Formats: sequence, C-alpha cells, structure tokens
Amino acid sequence: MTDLIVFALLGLATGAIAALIGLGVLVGYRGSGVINFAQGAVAMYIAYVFYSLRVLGTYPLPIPGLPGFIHLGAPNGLSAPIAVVLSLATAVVLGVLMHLLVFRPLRHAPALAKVAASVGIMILLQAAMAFRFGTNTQTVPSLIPSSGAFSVGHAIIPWDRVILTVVVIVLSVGLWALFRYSRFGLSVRGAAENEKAAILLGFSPDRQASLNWVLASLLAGLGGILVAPIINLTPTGLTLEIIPALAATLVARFSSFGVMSATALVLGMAQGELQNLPSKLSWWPSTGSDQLLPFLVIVVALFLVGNSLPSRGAASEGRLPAAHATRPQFVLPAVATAIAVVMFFTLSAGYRLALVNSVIGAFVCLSLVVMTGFLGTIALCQMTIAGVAAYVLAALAQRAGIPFPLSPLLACLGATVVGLAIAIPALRVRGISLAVITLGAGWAIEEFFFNNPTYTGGVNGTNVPAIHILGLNVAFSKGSEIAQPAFGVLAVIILALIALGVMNLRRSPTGRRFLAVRGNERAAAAAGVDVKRMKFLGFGLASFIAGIAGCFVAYQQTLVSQSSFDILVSVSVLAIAYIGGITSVSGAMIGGALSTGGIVFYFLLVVVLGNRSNGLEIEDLISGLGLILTAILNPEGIAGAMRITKQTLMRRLRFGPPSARGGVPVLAKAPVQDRERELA
Amino acid sequence: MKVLEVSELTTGYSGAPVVRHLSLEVDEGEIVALLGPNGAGKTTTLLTVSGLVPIMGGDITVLGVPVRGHAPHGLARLGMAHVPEERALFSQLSVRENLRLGVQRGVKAAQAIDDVLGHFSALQPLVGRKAGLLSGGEQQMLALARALVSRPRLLMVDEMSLGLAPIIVEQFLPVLSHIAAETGCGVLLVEQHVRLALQIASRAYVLAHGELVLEGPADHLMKNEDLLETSYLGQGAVDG
Amino acid sequence: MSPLLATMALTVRYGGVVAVSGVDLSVEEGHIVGLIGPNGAGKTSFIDALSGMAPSSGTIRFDGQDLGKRPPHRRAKAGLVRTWQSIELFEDLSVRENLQVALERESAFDLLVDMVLPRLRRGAGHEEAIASALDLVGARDLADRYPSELSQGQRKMIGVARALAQRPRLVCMDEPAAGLDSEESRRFGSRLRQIVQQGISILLVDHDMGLVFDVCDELYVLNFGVLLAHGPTSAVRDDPAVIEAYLGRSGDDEASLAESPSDGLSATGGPE
Repeated sequence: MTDLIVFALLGLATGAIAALIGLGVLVGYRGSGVINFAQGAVAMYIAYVFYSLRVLGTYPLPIPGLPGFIHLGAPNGLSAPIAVVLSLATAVVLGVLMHLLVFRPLRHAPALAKVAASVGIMILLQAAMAFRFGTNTQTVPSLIPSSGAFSVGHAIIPWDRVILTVVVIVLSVGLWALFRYSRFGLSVRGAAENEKAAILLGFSPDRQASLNWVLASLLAGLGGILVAPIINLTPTGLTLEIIPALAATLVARFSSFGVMSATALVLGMAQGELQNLPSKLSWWPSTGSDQLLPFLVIVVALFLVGNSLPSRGAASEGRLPAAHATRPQFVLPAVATAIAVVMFFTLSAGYRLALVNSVIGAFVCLSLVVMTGFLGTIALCQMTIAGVAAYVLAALAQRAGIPFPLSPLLACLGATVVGLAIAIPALRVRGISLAVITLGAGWAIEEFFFNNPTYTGGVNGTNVPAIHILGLNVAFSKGSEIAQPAFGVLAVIILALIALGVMNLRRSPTGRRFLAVRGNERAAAAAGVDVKRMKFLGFGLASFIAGIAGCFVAYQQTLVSQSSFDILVSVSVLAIAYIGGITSVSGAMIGGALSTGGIVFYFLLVVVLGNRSNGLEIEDLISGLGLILTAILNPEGIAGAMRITKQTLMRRLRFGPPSARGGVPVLAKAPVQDRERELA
Repeated sequence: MKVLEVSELTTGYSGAPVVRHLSLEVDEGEIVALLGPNGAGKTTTLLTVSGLVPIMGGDITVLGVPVRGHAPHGLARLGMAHVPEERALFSQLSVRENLRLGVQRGVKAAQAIDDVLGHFSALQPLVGRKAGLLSGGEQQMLALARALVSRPRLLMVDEMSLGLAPIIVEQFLPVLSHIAAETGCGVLLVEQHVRLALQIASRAYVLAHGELVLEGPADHLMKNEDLLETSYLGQGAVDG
Repeated sequence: MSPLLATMALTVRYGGVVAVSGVDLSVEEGHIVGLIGPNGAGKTSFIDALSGMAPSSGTIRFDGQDLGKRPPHRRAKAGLVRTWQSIELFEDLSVRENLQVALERESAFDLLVDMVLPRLRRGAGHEEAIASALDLVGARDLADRYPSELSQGQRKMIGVARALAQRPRLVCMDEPAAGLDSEESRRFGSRLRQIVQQGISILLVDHDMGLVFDVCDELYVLNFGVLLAHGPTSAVRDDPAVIEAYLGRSGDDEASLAESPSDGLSATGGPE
C-alpha cells in the first residue's frame, strides 16, 4: 500500500508537467486551431533559461555565431524572483514570435504545413539548447522547498509534489473561469466554433491568436521552471513530455481544461506505478510499459471520440503541396546512379560514409513521399518502422541464420505488417490526430520494444551478420576500412530501382487514386475509389520502403541499437523530407542528401566548418529552421522550387515574361482563393 | 444620410465575378429588400459589404467610410451588423453569452442586452440555454437580437426565413420595421419570401445572374408581380 | 418496366433534425427528373443518401439491386454517380487525370504492376472515353489544365464530365448550373439532352428554373424534407403550392406562371 502511494506520487511530477504542457496545447488550439507539438520544447527552453539565470547568472542566446551568453554580473546566479521574471518574459517573447513568424503566416495552410512548422520549432528549440548546454543532465535549483515532506501512515510525501498538483489545479480552474466568464474567453470560444461570426461581431482572430500563444507559452514556461528541478533537465526530456500531454488533451477532446489536467495527473501516477511493476512481477516487461500507457490512452481516446473531435470553424484547410506527374525520365536517374557509383569507387571513406547515410536517408524520404506526399497522411514514426525491420533482420539473420536476400525481404515485410497495423486507426483518423497517433506509437514501440533487452539486446543492441551475395562479401566495413564501395553500390542500385518504381507510381492509375484520396476522400469514394484499400496499400508500400532503410542501417552498423530509430530521429526525418520536397521523387533524393550525416552536412561541417564537436546540433538547428521556412514559404520543398524555377526560366526563354498560368503565381494565390470560397 | 452606398460593384470568387456592376443604396431608417433567385449573387453582395469577400471592381461606402482596405472586424466596430444566411450563432455558448459578444466595447452589456430582449420577449426565458438547443425560429430571433445589441446603424439580414415556416417569419418582419423606425437604422434585407419582404420594405432591388434586373418602390413591385416571377422563374416558364 | 431508380420512404436524419422525410421518388430509364425546392428543403441530403455519403433509412432500389447498405464506391461502380454542389475536383490532378481516376478500375496486384510495368496498364480506349466525356460538356481543350486554373463554370462542367467518365446509368447532379449566366445555362440544357441520348438518366437538382422547366420530363418538389408535389413538369409548374413555396405566401393572387406576360423581361432597371 505504502509503495503504491509512493510511486503514484513520484509519477505526479511527470503528470504535473504533462498537465501544464497540455494546458498550453489546449489554449493554443482554442486560439488558433493549431496543435503545437513544440509545447514541450517551449517548457524545456524556458527551463534552460531559468537554469542559466539562476545557476550561471547568464542569459543564454540561442543563435549560433553570436556570443553564447550575456553575463549579468552575478557569478553565483540571480535571485529566484528575478530569474523567474526574466524566464517568463522570455516565454512571452517566444509566444509572440511563434505567432508572428510561424503560425500567423500559416493560418490557412494545410494541416501538414502546420504540423511540419510546429515540429520545426520543436527541433529548433531543442537543438538550440543542446548547442548551448550540451546533452548532459543539468541540475536546477528548486523554487519549491523540496526538502520538506510529511507522512501519511508510513508513506513519506514530499511537499513539492503536493504544491505542483495544487498549481495545476489552480491554473486549470483559472483557465476554465477565463474561458467561461470573460469576454475574451467567450470570444475565443465563439471564434473557435465560427470564425466568420466572430469577425462579423468585430473580433480580430489575429489578436485572439497572439494572446493565446502568449498564454500557452507562459503555461509551458511555468511548467518548465517548476518541474525541471524534480525531473532531470535535458534537451529531449521535457520536449517529449508533449506525448503524454497530447494523450491527455485527446481524452479531453481538445476542450476541457479540467478533464485534461485530471487525465494528465492520473496518467502520471499510473506511469509511476508501472515503473515499479517490473521489480514486483518477474514476468512484467522490464522497461517501457509506462511509456506504452500514453499511446494506449491516445488510441483508445481516438477510437472513442474519433471523428467527433471538434474541428475548428476556421479549418479552411489550404491545399497540400502539389504533386505533379513528371514525364518518364531515364537519363537523369541513370546519370545520377552512375555518378554515385563512381563516387563510391573514388572518394575517401568519410565521403563514402556520408554517401551511404544519404542513400539510407533517401529511402526514408521516399517512403514519406508515398505516405505523406501521395496519400496525404502525416506520419511521425517512419524511423520506428525502419527500426522494426532492422530488429527483425537481426533476429532472422543472426539468430535464425536465414541468408541475405531472404532475411531483409522478410524484415521489410515485418515492417509492412506494422505499417498496416498503424493504417487501421488512419482509416478513421486523419490530419493532426493521425500525427499524434503515430508520434505516440513510435515512442511506445521505442520504449517498450527497442529498449527492452529481452527482445532486442536493449542499449547493447543486436549483431547483424554481413551481406554475402554469391559468396561475395558485401559488408559495410572490412577491417578498419568503412563504407566499402560494394556495399554502397548495392544500396544505390536498390534505391534507383525503388525510386523508379515510385516515379512510375505517380503516373499510374494507383498513384492517381492515392492523390484523389489525398485531395478529397468523399469525392474519391464517389468516383469509385476504394478509399480503405488505398490507405492500406499506401501504408504498406511506405512501410516496406522504410524497412529497406532500416535493413541498410542494420547492415551498416552491424550492431542494431535503438538510437538510430528513436522518435526524434523520426521527427527530424519528416523535417528533412519536407524540406527536400515531400511530393516528388527528386525531393526525396534531395532529402537524402540533406539527411543526418549525409553528404551536404558532411561537406558543410567537416570541410567548411572544420569538424566541430557539436555538428549534430548544428544540423538540427539548420533543419529545424529549414522546416519552418519551407512550411511557410515553399511548401513544395527544394525540388518544387527547382521545378518552378525551371519552368519560369523556360517560359521566359520561350515567351518572354512569365504568364499567370501555372508555376509560382497560381501556387501563391491558392490559399487565398480557398479562404474566399470557405467564407462564401 | 446614406448608411450604405454601393456603386458599380463587381465581386466574386477566384477571379470569377458573381455580381457585376451593381449599384444600390440604403438610407437611414429605411428598409430595402435585395431579391432574386438562388445563385443570383445576393449573399455574395452582403459578404462583400462586410469585407469578407474582396471587391473586384467598383466601390462600397458604409456610413461614409470606404470598405476597401478595411479589416472585416474593423467594419463591425463602425456600426454595421450582418446576420449571415446560416445565422452564425455560437451554438456552444448560451443565449446571454451570444448576446454579450454582440455588445460593442464601452457599452454596458447588461443594459444593452435588456434593451434588445424587450423586442424579443420569447427569448427572455431562454437566456441561460445553449444557442444550439434553440428551435429554428428562436435561433433566428437570437441572431437578429445579437446583431441589434451592437446598436448598428446599418443592419444586413440574409435569408431570415431560411428553413422557417412562413407563419414564424411573419412575426419577425414587423420587428425590423419597428427597429428601423425607432433607431434610424438602415436595413438591407435579402429574403426568399418575396411577398413578405415587399410588405415591410420601402424599396427593392432584384438581381438575376449577378446583374440588377429590376428596381423600384416596393408597392409598385407588389402590384406587378408578374415582373418578379419572370426574374425568379426565368424565361423558360414564360415561354413554355 | 420497373424504373431505374426507386426510393421508398427514404429518410435522412442528422442528430435530431430530419432533413429528408419518407420520400418516394423514381427515375425512369432515359428520363431527366428534376428535384426542386427552396433552400434547405433537403435536396442535397437526398443526393447524399443516394450516393452513400449520408446514413439513411428506407430503400434505395437501383437497376434491380438494393443499394441501401453499400459503401459509396460500390454504389458508384453499380452506375449510380453524383456531382457536387461545391465542385469537389481533385486539385492535385489535371483535368485528364481527374477523369482517369473515375474511369480506371482497381485490380488485385495493381500497385505492384503500376510500379514495375507502368505500360502494362495503359487503359485501352480511355483516351476516347475521356475525350467524349469532355466533349459532352464542351471542355475538350481543358484536358491538360489543373482545376486551380479553371473558372467556376468550367470547374462545374469538369465535375459533370468526371461523373460521365464513370460510365454511369444515372447521374445525380447537385446544382450544376449555379453560377452559370443565362446563355451558359441554356447551352448546358442542350448538353443534358445529349447526355440522355447516350442512354444515361439524370436526376437534376437546380435552382435555375428556366433550365429545370426546359429539360425535365418530371419534377419532384421538396419542402422541409417532405415531398410537396410530383408530376409532369407542366403540371408542377402551374401548381399554386409550388409557387407559394418559392415566392412565399400568396395573398389573394392565384396567378399561375403560364399566364405571365412574356414581355416581362424587358422591364430591366439596371445596367445589363
């Protein structure tokens, strides 16, 4: 009994931070219809600012190139009240900036662009703090007297948990009252239901949204400052608290503050209990069951509330980036393949490794082209699916001894099965809700499956034997020589084949049906398209391609470890695919070049910047920023921009100045037209 | 004084005009009907006056202020109220909360709400009920009341009778006459029950296929109903 | 001969609201049947129910089969096809591709075949079918455009062409003429007659009374979700109840439309 209480109370701290992040998510959603995946990252950012002020007496500047810190003349740290005020002021500024620079320009953008942008903010904030403070755990002095405790029966209850819980309850009640009784709150609720009506009554949706984002940031910042001392402060820890927070907001159907907070607190306590179970029950999985819980809550909540999730009145969704059919191309792909092959035989190991990384990245981007670009579903767990293939491959090849072509094929089919399982909720749920599901699924699979030593060897990983084709050793490394040309050539050839297949697909009947489903499920069904079947086909194919990426990662590392497949990698892969161009094969190739450890960054970091230790953070900073900019300015990605530039140039060469037909002008106008239509 | 002046207005969506070269005006205290078959462009005209649909050509002046370049929410603060076709109530909010959001800044909410509820006695016992739970007639009453609570000088009402039995509509229209006479508010009325609209309007404009085909004093149009039927039911009816 | 489409006691409920209440309607092979009524009368809900987009009770018999429980795409394949009031074209696909989606049939291994051997599935005769569907709406030259480049009227016509490309037995058209000017609407009327000559029946919902009276063989009139009148076009046109539904309460005046003087149109007050 005592144990039960103790672990529940331990969990209260995580429950409280999830609740505070969730409150911010709700406020932001009510004000602008955007679910901000970066809400946890905001809490983390403000917590770091507070840490820096309180402990180091410095104010951290996030922008690389500028001095890292402003020294405030207090070498032992500022006093708590000043640090709190400055931290919360930072939260206000962050909220205003998010509104003005990101969410306001994306008001009428499709859900994908909004998710991409908020994911971009998440990557950016996390990379900025990792860049300044490293990824080691920091200890933050508590605002709440943490030493005090009282006992109920035999259980010792620390005061800080009680105070945190009280703070959550007070804030929830306060927000409830604000939205229930104040003119501001009423107008926000009204505008959420019917933005046009609110405008006709003289309310500015823009002003409402900005106030809501400030409020949301403040809530997250407060959460970060209060909770950071209790949990360990790392750039990723608080950031990922967005997952239980999203689970709780889903249960609350994106509306009730009280239900959300209660769910988050109970969820936190249940997670606390689950952490204790392995020590009590020998058969209970040793790790991850506590992280599985939020995902289960998400799935159950979505199935229960499902389609009845309130959609905001302003949901005038713009179009997804265009996915144009291209004429059959053979010359360019053949030349590119040949160049890649030649590079493998001529370049140094560093470049070869970068090239292998790029090829693997291109596979993942291709799978996202099918999943998101063609089918229109937002998936945040693509690397998890790749990871499933990697672990299945390890099991089949190492433990069962199944030889080369068969074992990776079966592994990819294993990934396909997982993808099809994720497609089941996607039949009912779309848009942002699906992004939430996939994020939760990826996190749960990672924590429960990948990290569990009994299944996968845990952090130590599982060995994968080298590839042998007809007795030929096609291993990634021989002795100390890594990124063997043969390995690279194999990967490039398979990539070229798959890319050709996806290119064919876009011009084929099936590809057209994918795009019909993406554009309008109702109209597609009315035109005789079996929407369910299309979704299963799309998820299956995308997962298979992601599985190929996973197999190559496994062969490359020879030791499969979860760090390659963790949820933040999935998230940043989506970022890179989106920047490259999520609707075209050429975009996927560009995405591959841009991917982590790929050739672009190898060149930039090793050759230009001279091999810095925090290269990973710089990559993340660039991709986070690139993602936001792409979402706002250039939704078709680099590939789309290149296509449009080429068209414009051709037209100029042939006909003089560009006409209004096709190309940039039409694309730029589309969202405006949609808005007009929606208002009519 | 003219509360609304529309001159040579061309407007529509995605570059395709729905209304072409429309001119009309509404005086203080006057009720003007804008009539015409479905798809004629009446709703689009009202939305353009409210700033929700951009002007493609011509000019609109509301209470002496040009609409062009004004944010739509700013126009509402000038003293214009618009009851759109779908009523645009906040169904999750109570009747009182809906009314409260109609009150302009700097006005005592309770007083303004009580004033308006005087005209709509049927709403008084329902103030605590969610707007979504009201009957169609009550909802229309609330939509009108919410527009009036802002004490507008120009009121635009779109298809007030939509989905309502004629008997209920007959109860509404006199309220409009009363308010126009009492407060000097100009009213532009889009209405599919032509005969009812002509009973309370002093003048009417008739649109067909986006163009003005008929205008004149209401009593004159009443007497020559055949003209109206032609513009509503098309030439086919007449020829056949 | 039994009619191509027959609904019996078709009812659509949204929450507590009854949008369509017990409507019996039938469409004979080769006929154009009009479904008219004031705004909010339940016409679109009726088409939603026919096409499977809205849950309904009652029976939908089509071509000898009971379609009432089938998912939307199966109804479309059975030959009952619809168009949309707000033209729901596939914005990512060119006009030609929009029609191709409607024409092409799914098959067991299509994904694999499409990726590996795209040439294998080049539909034979599709080009012709697309051209003739576009010809029927007079939009052959638009095949390579994207929907975002088309005018509202053109988009409507492509919506109709896409429905025709599905080789339907019956097309339910939801306000295809809304937004067309009078000349365009007249041209559209003659196109509808051509379509019927190809052996396709039409259920037409529209507010353009000129068009409806001109082309329809029969009319059904809905008001508040209930059938108000039904009969040959000429009879319905003169029905006082119908006139009242459209113009509001008639006073002592019982004027029928047929008696209206034909010089009415000359009395225009505004600029043309």
